Amino acid sequence: MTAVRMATPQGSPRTVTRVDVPGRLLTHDGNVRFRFAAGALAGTVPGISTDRSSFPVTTTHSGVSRAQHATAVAARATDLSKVYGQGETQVVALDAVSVDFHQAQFTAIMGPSGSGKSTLMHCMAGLDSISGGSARIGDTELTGLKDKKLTQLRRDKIGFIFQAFNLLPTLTALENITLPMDIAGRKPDRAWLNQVVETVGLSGRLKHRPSQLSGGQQQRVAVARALASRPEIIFADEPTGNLDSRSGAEVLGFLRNSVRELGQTVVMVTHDPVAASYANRVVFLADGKIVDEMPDPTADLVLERMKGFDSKRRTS
Amino acid sequence: MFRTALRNVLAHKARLLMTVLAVMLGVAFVSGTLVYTDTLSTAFRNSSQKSYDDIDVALNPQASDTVPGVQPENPRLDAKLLDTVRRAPGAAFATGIVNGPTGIADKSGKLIGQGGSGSNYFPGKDGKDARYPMKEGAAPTRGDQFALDQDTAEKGGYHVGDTVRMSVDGPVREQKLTGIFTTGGGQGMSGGSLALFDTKTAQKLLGVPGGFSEIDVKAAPGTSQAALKQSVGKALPRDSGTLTTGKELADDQAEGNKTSMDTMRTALLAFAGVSLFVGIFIIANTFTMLISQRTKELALLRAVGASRRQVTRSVLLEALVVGTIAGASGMVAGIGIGAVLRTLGGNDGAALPDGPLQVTATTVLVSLGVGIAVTVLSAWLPGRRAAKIPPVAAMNSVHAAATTKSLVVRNTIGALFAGAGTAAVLVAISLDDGKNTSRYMMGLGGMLLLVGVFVLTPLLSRPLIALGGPVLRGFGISGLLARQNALRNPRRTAATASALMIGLTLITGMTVIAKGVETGINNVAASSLKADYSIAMSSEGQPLPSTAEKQVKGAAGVSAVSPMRKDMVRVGAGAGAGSKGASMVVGVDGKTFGSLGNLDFTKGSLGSLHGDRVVVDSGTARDHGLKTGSRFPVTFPDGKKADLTVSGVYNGNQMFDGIILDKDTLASHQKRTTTQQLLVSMDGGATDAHKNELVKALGKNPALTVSDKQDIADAVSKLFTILLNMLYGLLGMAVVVAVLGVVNTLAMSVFERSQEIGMLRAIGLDRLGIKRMVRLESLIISLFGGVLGIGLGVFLGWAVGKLIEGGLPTYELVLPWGELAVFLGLAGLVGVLAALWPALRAARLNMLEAIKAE
Repeated sequence: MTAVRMATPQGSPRTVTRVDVPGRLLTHDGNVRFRFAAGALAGTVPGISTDRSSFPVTTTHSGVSRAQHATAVAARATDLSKVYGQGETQVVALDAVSVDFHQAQFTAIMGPSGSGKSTLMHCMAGLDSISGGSARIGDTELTGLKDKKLTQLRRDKIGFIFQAFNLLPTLTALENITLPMDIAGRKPDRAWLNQVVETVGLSGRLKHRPSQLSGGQQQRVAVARALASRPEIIFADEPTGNLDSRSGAEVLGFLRNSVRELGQTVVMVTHDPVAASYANRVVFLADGKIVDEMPDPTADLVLERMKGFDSKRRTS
Repeated sequence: MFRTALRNVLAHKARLLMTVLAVMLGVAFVSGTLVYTDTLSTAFRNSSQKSYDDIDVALNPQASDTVPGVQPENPRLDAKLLDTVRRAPGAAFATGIVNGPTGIADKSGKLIGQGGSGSNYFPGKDGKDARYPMKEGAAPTRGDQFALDQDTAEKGGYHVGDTVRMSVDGPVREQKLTGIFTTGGGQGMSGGSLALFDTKTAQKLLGVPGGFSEIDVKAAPGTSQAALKQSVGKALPRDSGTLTTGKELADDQAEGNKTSMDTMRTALLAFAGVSLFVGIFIIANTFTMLISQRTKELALLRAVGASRRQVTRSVLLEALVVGTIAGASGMVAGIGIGAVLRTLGGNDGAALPDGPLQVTATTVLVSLGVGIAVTVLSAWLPGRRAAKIPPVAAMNSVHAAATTKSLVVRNTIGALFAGAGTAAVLVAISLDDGKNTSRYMMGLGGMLLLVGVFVLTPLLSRPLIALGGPVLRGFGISGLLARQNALRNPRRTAATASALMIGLTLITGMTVIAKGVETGINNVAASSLKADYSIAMSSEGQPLPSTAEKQVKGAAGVSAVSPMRKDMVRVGAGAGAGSKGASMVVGVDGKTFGSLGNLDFTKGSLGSLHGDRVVVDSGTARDHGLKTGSRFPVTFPDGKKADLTVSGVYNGNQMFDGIILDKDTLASHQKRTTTQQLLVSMDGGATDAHKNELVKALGKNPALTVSDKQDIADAVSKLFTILLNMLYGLLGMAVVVAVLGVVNTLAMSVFERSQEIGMLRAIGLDRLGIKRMVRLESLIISLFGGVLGIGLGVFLGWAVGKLIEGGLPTYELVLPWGELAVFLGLAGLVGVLAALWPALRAARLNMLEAIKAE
C-alpha cells in the first residue's frame, strides 16, 4: 500500500531523493572524494589561516565577533503571526513570535515537525505573506510590501540556501553563483567572487553543470551563490537535509566560517542537532511559539533539549 | 489497466487539454468538410431533380461529329421542328427555349454580378410559363419589354416600370421592366442574372434568329419518358438533334455536381490532413512529456510485475480515451462549422440551393476514426519508450533527467533523408521533361526533404537559436535563461517548431509560386501584346456582341483592330473519330495582327498572314511534325478539308496559342462567326481619354471590359490575391494547431520547471522577469520554426517554379520580401500569443510550493 502511494505524484518524494543522492556520490572516484574532504578541511581547520588576512573581518575569535555585533539586529520579528485557512480548518502556524537575529551571528531555528520553524523563516525572508505583527530585514518593514518591492528586497538583501540545492541545470556552476547579480543587472565583484569560490573549493568546477557535480558540490555552489552577492542575511532551509554527513559537515563549516570570518549573518532552519551545534545560538520553536533559546550550543545539549520536547509531547 | 488509463487521463486533464484541442480542430475540419459537401451535394441533387421536373424529353441540336468536341454551328431547331415535336404521339406540350448571354447593368451602368443569361418567356395554353411564376407585374410581350429574376432586381434596385440597360448580342439595349419573377429551382443555381424576353425578341437579341437552342417536351399523362423519347424520335426527321429524357438530364447534372463536389471535398480534406499532421507532433510531444514526468510511476508498474506490453498498452489506452474525446468533440464542432458554412455560402451571391444539414453515418465514423487513429498512432512511439523504462527507475532520481540520448542516429537518418530529397528535387529540375516523371520526382523529393528537415530540427536548433543570441543578450538574465531553456530539450523544441514549420513551408512555397506565376503572366501580357487595348466579355469565354468590332472601328483615333476568333479544327489527313488531332485555330486580321501581337518565333516569321498561310505554336508543330514551309491538311468545323502552309513556328503562351490564320480563311468555313476578343491600337497609345472613347463607342456596354496592359496586370494580380487568400485561410487552421502546440510545450515546461521558477522568484527575479523568460522562449521556438518553414518554402517554391517554367517560359522567381517578412512576423506573433497563458501561470506560481515540490 505504501509502495503504491510512493509512486504517485502525491507520494513522498523526499524519501526517494535521499536514496538518490548517496547513490550518485558513490559513482564518484576517490580523487573527487579526496578533494572534497580537503575542501571541507579548508573551511573548518584553523590551519588555513593564511587566507584570513584578506577577509574583511579581522577578528577570528567568535566571542569577540559576537560581542561587536550584538547590538546590531539584521532581522527582527515582532508579534509575528501566520494563520493558514479559515474557520474550522484554521491552523495557526506562528503565534505572535518575537525574535531578533543579530548581525554576524549564526542562528539555528529548531523544533519538531509542524512547530512553525520553516514558516518563520519563510515569513522573515519575504517568501510568504504575514498574517499579523511585523517582520523586518534591517530597516525594512516587510508587511505591506508589494510583490515587486519584496522581490527586490530578496534580490538585494537576502541570500537563500535550500534543502534541494535548487540550482538551474542549464547554467554552469559559475553562472549559478552569479545568478542573483545577473538578475539585478549588477556586475559581480571579481575579487570577492574569486575569494568565495576558492573558499568553498569550487575553483576547478566552475564550468561544470549541476548534473556533473555531486550533491555536496551542488550545495557548495548554492552556498557560494548566497555569499557572492554579500546579502545582509542568508536564510538556509535544512541545507544539509539532502547530504551525507561528510558533505553536510563541509557546508555547515562554510556557513560558520562565513559568519566568523566574513561577518555574514546566517539563519538556518534544521531538525538535526549536529547541524544546530555549528550555530552561535539556537532558537527552539514549538506549536508556533518560541519556547527556548540556547547560546553556544553543542549537539548533545540540543539533543537533550529536543528530547524534552518529545517527552513533553508524549505526556501531554 | 483501463481504469489506470482513465485515471491518468483525468489526473492530467489540464495537460491534455491542448492535445484534445489540437486533434479536435483537425477532426472538426474533416467533419465540417464532410457535412458541408454532403449537404451541398444533397441540395444540388434535389434542386437538379426539381429543375428537370418540367422536362420529360429534351431535344438539343446535334453535336457536330465532323470535328469532335466542337460546338455545333447555328442550331437549326426551328418553329417547324417545334410543331413536329408537339404533335408527336404522347407529347402533351413542347417548349421552344432560346438561350444566350445577357448582362444586366445596375443604375450606375455597372454589370450586376458576373453577368448572366437571357431566355424566352414561353406561355403555355393558359397564357403563362409555369417555369417562371411572376411575382410582380406581367410577362413581356413586346420587343422593348423584359422580365427579370427577383434576386437581380433586388441587387440592382429595379422595380416594375423601370428602364434597364443590358448587354445582349448586338448593341446595348434599354428595355422596360414589366415583371419580376421567381426562379422555381434550377435556374437560380448558376448564380447569374436571368432576363426573359418574349420568344421573338429573345431570338433576335440572343442571336438565334428564327430558331431555338433547345426544345423541351412534356409527356401526356400515362406516357413514360422513355416512350415519349421513342415516339418523338420517330416523328422527327433524321439528324435533327439529340434526344434526352429529363431523368438522364438530371442524372447528368447530378453526376457533374458530384464530380465538382468530390474535387472540392478532396481539396478541403487535403488541408484538413495538413492540420491533422501538425497535430501529430503535438500529441507525440504531449505523451512524451507526460511519460517522462511519470517515469517513476511507470517503473513501479514494471517493478510490481507489469509487462512491457502492458505498459505500452496502458499508454495507448490513454491515447484512445483522449482520441475518442477529441474525435467526438471535433465531430460536433465540425457539424457546427458545416452549418455555418452553409449559411455563409447562401449569402455569398452564388446562390446555393437550400437543403437540410446532412450528417451521415460515414461522417460520424470517419471523424471518430480519424481522431482516434491519429491520437493512438502518435502516442505509439512514446508508449514504446515508456515500456523501455527499467523497473529500477522507480527507486531512482526525482526526474529521470531528460535522456539526452545521442542524436547521432537521428542526425544520420535526417541527413540521408534531406540529402536524398534535395537530390530528387534537383534531378526533377534537370529532367524537366514537362511530363509527370519530373512532377512525381519533385513531389517525392519535396516530401523526403520535409521529413529530413523534421528529423534534423534538433540538430539545427542549436546553431539557429545561437544566431539570436546577441539579441537575447539585450534582455539580460531572462534572455539568457530563455535561450538555454529553448535548447534544453532539443527534441521537444524541434517537435514544437516543426508543427509551425509545416504550415509556414506550405504558405511560403505557395506564395513564392503564385507570385512567380503572376509575374510570368504579366510578362506574357507585357511582352506579347503590342496592342493598347484588349476588349473581351466580363464573363470569361462568352462571345462578344456581333456588332462590337464595327463599333470599335468607328471610334475616333483607332489605328488598328484585329478580332480573335477561336474555333477547333482537326489536323491531319485521317477522317477517324476521336479527339486526337483536334487543335485550336485563331482567326485574326492578317493585315493588322502584325502591329497588335508580338509572337515569339522560333522559326520563320509572321510573314503576310492571308489565304492558306498560317503560323503554328511550337506544341502543335511538335505534335504534328510541322516545320516552316510544311503543308498540312486540316478539317474545318463545316467538314470541309483544306491544306495550310506554315510560315512560322512560335512559342505559345496564355495570350496567343494554336494555329493562327487570317479571319477570312476561317470565316469561309463558318456559318456564323463569334469573336472572343478584340485587339485595338490607338494613335497616341493607351490613355484614359482613349479608353473612354472606346467604352463610349461600344455603347457603354456593361458586359464588356476594355483593358490596357495595366488593367490586365491588375486583373491577374487580383485573381492571385483571391487564390492566395483562400489558401491562407485553409492553411490558417494548421497554424492555429501549431499555436496550440507551442502553448502546450510551454505549459508543460513551466510545470516541469516550477521548482526552478520558484527558486528564481525567491532569489529575486520578479514576475515580469519570469514572464519575459517564458515569452522569449516561446518567441525563440516560434521564430525557429518560422525561419525553417520560410527557408524550406522558398526552396520548394523555387524548385516547383523551375518545373512551371517549362509550361510558362516567362515565369520568374520573385522573392516576395514583404510577404516573407509578414510570415516571419506571424511566427513571432504566434510565439507571443502562445506564451500569454503559460507566462501568466509561471509568474503566478506559488514560490514556496514550487520550491518544496520535487
